[in-house]
Amino acid sequence: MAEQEVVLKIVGLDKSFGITHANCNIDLELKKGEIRGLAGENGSGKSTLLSQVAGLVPIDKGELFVKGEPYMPKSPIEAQKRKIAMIVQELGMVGELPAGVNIFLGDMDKFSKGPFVSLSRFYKEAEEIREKWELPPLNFRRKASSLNVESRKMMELVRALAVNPDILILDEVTQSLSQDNREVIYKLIKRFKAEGRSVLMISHDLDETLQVTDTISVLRDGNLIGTVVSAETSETELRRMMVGRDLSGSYYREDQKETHGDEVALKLENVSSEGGVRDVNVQVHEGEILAFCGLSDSGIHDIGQIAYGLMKPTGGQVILMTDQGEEVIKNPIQSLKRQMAYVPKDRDGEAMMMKSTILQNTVLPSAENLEGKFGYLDSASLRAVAEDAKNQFLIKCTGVTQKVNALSGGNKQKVNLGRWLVKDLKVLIVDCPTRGVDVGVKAYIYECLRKAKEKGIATLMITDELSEAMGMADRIVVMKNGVTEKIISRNEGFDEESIIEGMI
Amino acid sequence: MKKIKVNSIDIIPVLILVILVVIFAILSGGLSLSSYNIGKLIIQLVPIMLGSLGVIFVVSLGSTDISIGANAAMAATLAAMVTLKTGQSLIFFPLTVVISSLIGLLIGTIATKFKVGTFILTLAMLIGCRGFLNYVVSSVKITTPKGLKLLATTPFALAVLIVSIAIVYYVFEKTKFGYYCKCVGENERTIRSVGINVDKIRVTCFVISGFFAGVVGVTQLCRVGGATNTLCNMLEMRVQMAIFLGGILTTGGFSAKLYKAIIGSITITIIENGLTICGASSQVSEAVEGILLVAILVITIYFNRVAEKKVEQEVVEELISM
Repeated sequence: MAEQEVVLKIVGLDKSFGITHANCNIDLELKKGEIRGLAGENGSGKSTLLSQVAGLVPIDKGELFVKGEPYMPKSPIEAQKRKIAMIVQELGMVGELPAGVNIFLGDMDKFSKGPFVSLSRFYKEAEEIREKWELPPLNFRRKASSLNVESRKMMELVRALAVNPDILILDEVTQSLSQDNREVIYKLIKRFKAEGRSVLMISHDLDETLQVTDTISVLRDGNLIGTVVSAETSETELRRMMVGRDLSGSYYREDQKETHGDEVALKLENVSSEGGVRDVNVQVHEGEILAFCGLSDSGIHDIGQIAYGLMKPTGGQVILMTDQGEEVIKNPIQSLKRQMAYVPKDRDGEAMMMKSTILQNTVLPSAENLEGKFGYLDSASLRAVAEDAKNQFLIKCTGVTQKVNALSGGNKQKVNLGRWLVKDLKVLIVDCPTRGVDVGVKAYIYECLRKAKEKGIATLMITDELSEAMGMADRIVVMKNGVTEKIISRNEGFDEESIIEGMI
Repeated sequence: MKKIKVNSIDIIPVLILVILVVIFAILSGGLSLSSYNIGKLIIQLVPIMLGSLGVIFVVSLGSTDISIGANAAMAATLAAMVTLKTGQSLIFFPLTVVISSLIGLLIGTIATKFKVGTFILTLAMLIGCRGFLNYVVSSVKITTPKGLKLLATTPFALAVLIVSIAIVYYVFEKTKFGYYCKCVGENERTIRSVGINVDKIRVTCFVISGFFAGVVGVTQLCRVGGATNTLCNMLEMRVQMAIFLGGILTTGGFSAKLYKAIIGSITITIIENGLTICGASSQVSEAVEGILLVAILVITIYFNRVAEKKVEQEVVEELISM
């Protein structure tokens, strides 16, 4: 193939935040039609690098060229003029405005007639873009705040595509998406390539990065370690480059047997939900990890909420086995008292109080147990719980009074999970427990789940990642359109093909 | 040694208070610090601070209660009517707080059951209670029931205030309930998904707010000598102002601290009292008060932004360095 045109050239890019050197003297070239992945642990400078390219973070030092011409973006608008668009990790939309309006926020003049703005043209144009790029149906008239994480991500995608970009930057876009929407993104990337457009993407999912990209650049501590051809490298090789030392190839369970206690801990009996779950019957045993796999509309996320009593089933019931016999779970208040735990998928929006401290977040599930006479909470014992969680789960922080929003994604997740595991639990429900965390923390979370299993805790693991389910579960429940498609035991050996077949 | 970190935003309201005290002392030639004036100051302070003791619970949830002034006046007036009819003066105090707490219960129940915004709901309640009060006052003459002179005295009001502060401090700062209230303000979804009964917490907070409205109603009706249609007028607004002047955010959460409400209450009282003692005519003083309040709020919010920016910068550094 002939030498392809270079669309983006970065020379000697340097960025510091105070004393921290986020990007050190980075050189990078992106060719026309190239799909480039960026890999690196949390804080290695991936997002900082791409944010500078997209004009979100000012550039300190270095030169950028787009198609050979100097490029020094001071704002995302300037980047968009040069046909560079980025979808950021945090959701950036004005919640009270319809999604369709959000898409063209930077481009209002186009739709104005005097002091008026034509809303219907917004929706029409947004719809045209959606169709052009073959994205799934979206309701642009809904308020952005009323959309779920997935739809909002898709809206942002439309917003980025509205500038007709030559370079599309994706920062952790797939992590919040389910398998079917991920497929949409993969298809889009393929089309970009075919049309001679380029993509720069960050993903914590190395497997995905390997499959989707042409080349991968690895960053570590702000330095560009190297760029490899995706087809010629492996996950282990990438991980070694990212961490700078060897990590064992597998962090999943090594045994291939279904192992758990004989006693049933929790039963779902003929459970149905408004969201489309129909007649689900499963039992999870003490010390068992039961995984739920399926596409986003398969109802797997409903299962977690129903099991914890957060969502009222439209039919059937959830039964917890206690020392006094069977007990129907009616609400989360009861679940909390009965030593159950629920770790939601939406970590930043639902699970955590982002502006509060680690301490305030960690003691939340334990407050009922720590309460003394007249509701008294002893600050020393609260602190002890928080310190315990911090030490036990190796949470990287300046102290338990540090605010949670100052933590990295992985450490937030450690707080999120750790605050439950310091308790004496019977049932643990986790929804996408390793979403958006780096490999180190991921391995650690699996270690925690393994320990929970040893302690005899019954775990319901709802997950978007098939490899995670196959790596950790004793049994996998495959769901499709709200119905249990099949239940596979670890004894039979998990076969990826047949699980995916059940899902779609 | 434990390192004590003082947040700049927490210190601003205290600084403003000190500056105001000094300014008014100079302008009034020391008159504002005379024992006579301090006595007057306490009398002005009591209703605002008592009111804020209840409202702080609601504010910590991220909700608002602007019904307390009207609630206080109506509850006290109704209780006084009953007391006058029965001649049992001892029932006046308990009856007032029962009525006002019931109104709080009603507000809380409507807010949780029908998911009505608390600002608009308590505004409606304010209008309703005031209307009812106007009707009652224009048709019957209600005086303070006999034998309740004690309730009108400053020492009594002070004693009630001190005991109330002690109880609220314990409940709000030291118990599970107080902790949960602030969690609701921080992120209601979090505390719900953990499995805490948020509705019960919200209703309880409105009952507490109503309860303290009743306590204010008792002290104010006795001081005035009977029910009038201006009883506790604008109390809810003064209390709101006090809470925000103290540096509590409208979103509530862990920014809600009792000491802030206390400082805010003193600040607004000092401003009102200071303007009077400096000889500002009543026509001018309210306008000046408004200007002063706006200025203070702007300063507080400005420093809040600066502090937040600093935190954001730290966050970025933290993320990068990990």
